[in-house]
Amino acid sequence: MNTPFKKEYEHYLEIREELAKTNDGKFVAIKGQEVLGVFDDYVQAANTVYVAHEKGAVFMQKISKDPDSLNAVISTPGIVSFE
Amino acid sequence: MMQAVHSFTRNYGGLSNRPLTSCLVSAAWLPRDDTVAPPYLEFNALWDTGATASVITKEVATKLNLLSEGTAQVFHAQASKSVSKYFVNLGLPNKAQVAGVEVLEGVLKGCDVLIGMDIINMGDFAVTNRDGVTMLSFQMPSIHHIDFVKLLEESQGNDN
Repeated sequence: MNTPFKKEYEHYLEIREELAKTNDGKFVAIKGQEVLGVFDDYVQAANTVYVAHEKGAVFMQKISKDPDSLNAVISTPGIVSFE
Repeated sequence: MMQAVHSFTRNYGGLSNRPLTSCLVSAAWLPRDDTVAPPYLEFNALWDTGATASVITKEVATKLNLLSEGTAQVFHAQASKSVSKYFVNLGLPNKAQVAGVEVLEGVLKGCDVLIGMDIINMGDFAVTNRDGVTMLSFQMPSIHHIDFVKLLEESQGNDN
């Protein structure tokens, strides 16, 4: 996977199950391998972390017990594609 | 206190297999004292029950100066791929606004925004086609179910 958030994404995969035990449905902000915080929602997360960090430099993710939550299924060929 | 319900209905004037509406999109606004709400721009949105997530084009992201805040794995007809994700505020035709919505970046044909089941699941959504006229109706939040079987039974009961 070649994306700017590869490290953060993989770190989230490692900690997701543990995080979700007590934070299911909340938002986590991750930079590198550092968890900057867990927040009730995106707006609270962004309001907090974008004081000290630039927007676009922090990985934001809704925490879910469901491992499939990181995946999206788009089954409408002809309308949508991903390059 | 009863929660306000926002609804809209779009009449396509004939059969339509592309349930399009307008929608407003802005960068996710962070309502702090020192921030001003970013502008909403209007785009064409396709309502798609075959999509588990909502999608915007790269052009929408560029027009709104969005910065990627993550990545997601998308499974589509051909394969799977990791794509950038953004957070936006959505303004739906029912005047309802949804803040901090996660959207994925994709290439869309004939629309700028794909409204997926993540948004549709926030309310009640119906497409009906009586007399060859497609109508799309949506309300938020959800306040009831539509059961065509029950409606038919009730209507037949009333006829007797």
